[in-house]
Amino acid sequence: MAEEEIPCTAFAVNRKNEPLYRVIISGKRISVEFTHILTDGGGAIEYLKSLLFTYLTLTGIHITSPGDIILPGTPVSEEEYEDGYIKFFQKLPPPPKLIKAWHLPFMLNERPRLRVLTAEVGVDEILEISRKHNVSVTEYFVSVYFLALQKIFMTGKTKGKKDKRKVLRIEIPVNMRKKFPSRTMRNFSLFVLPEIDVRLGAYTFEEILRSVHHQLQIITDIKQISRFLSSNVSYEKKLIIRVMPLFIKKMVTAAIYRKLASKRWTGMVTNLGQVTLPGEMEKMVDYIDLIPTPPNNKVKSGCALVSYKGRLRITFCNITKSHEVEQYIFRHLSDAGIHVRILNNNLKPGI
Amino acid sequence: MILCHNCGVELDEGLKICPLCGRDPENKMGQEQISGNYPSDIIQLRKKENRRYLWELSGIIAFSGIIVCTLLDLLTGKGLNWSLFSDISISVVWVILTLYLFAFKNPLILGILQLLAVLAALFLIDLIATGRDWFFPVGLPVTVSAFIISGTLIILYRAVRLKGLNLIASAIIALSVFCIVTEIVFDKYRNGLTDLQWSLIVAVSILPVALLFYFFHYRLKKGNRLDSFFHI
Repeated sequence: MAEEEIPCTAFAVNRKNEPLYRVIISGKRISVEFTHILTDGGGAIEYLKSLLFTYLTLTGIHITSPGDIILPGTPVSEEEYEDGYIKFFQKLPPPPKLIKAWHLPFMLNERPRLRVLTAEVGVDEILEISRKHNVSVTEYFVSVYFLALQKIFMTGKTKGKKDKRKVLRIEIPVNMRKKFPSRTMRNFSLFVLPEIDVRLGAYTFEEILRSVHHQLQIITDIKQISRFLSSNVSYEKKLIIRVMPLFIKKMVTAAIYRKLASKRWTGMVTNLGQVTLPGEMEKMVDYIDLIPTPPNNKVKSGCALVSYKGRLRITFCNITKSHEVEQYIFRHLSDAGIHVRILNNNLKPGI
Repeated sequence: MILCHNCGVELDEGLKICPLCGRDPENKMGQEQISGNYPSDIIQLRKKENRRYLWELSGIIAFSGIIVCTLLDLLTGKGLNWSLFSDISISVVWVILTLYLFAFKNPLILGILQLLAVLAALFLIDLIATGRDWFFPVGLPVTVSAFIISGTLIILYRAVRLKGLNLIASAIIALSVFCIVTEIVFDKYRNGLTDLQWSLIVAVSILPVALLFYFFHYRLKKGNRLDSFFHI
């Protein structure tokens, strides 16, 4: 279907026989949008690779070495549609409770609210800076994000704004296929939530880097992350939940998510990592972008990273009138010597 | 490739203004550093102004109601009869709202002032209706006990760490205590004797429910928090 004016329009998940994913085109751009019911970023990129392969083949371009791309027509392995959460579930103590996180105080846009902004940096540049600090690219970027959030928080504080919530927390999806032996194409990711507690005072950038680095080392440990898996799945196994009618379950879980879950984090950063295509396909594909899940009214902003052909693309989804988070982040990267280029992505009513 | 000096980023071809700061990158006039800028898109009335507007609006509505009731009574009843009761009721509601909006920082003072406002209203109603018949024997003790019981519940709500079924159980016990106090007051007013009947039935009926809730909350640790129950 032709691309609509803005990306990531909602799926009609409550209506029967409505598609849960869409393939849209605009000029030379192919996009695939999935609802999270079907799959996560890891599954989506595999589908996109298969789609690109099929598209190029249909246009007459013969790909001799498709690599590990799942080709149409190949027998479907059971592993591809297994539920990884159920398969690797084990009853464990639940993870520690989290207090509510601070949220960005900005006004929301008028509907349609979503604005997408994409920037590009050199992978080598950001990798060099990250290595100087002995952290990964994700840890470095998350730290810069924390620094931006802290600046906004502290600026509000100096203006006399009182907010009882004083913990900044960023939600980071972790691809569980790298932790467990699974080849599922369904959802198999969990979220870790490193935090900065500004009740302890303002953090320097170095302090944030150290804190984020060590927190991620601990909470992405397979034993710790299994607690989150156990907590999520054991809720499904409760008898009262299983016998509850579906329409009540949908209302209750949606309400609880809105009231409780999204109050636990301030922002979101997802890093899909390095995407590679077979040589013949790579020549035909200029760039790969990842637009994160549009944020809700509480979180308001999210960010996705993906690297391809030596370029790291950073895409922000923002439903507020302010771009201060992006400004602080890109200013920091620029001051660190990383060349940041804001792209004209022609996504209306985006920038 | 144009550089936005304000944000320190390069802009792609086709971008005439910087998407971050909204400025023309080729116009270097009036550029400022990001740091020190308060998020400029927050538009909110200060809480004091909000309270003031609400107070003024409620005052207009209350005053209009008093005027309407008084005029109607004068025109139809040839004198002030029933409108006195409605005027007193409207006035006390507005006074309570005023106290809440402007004295809310100190809950104890707020509670005492609201109690006095309600007692004053009841006293006036009693004076107009019956010439001081039921205020001291009934109105005063029942109102004071209601405020004390409500205040105790509020203190308990703030003091308790885990809020759940224990609060509902406490509200049930408070209700049964209030029923007993009310029956004692009414019995003394009517007969001069205390003979507890219906309030005991209420207490006996609902206290086991309260005990069950306490059991669930403290012993079984269930129903403490919704997020705990749903593993969020």
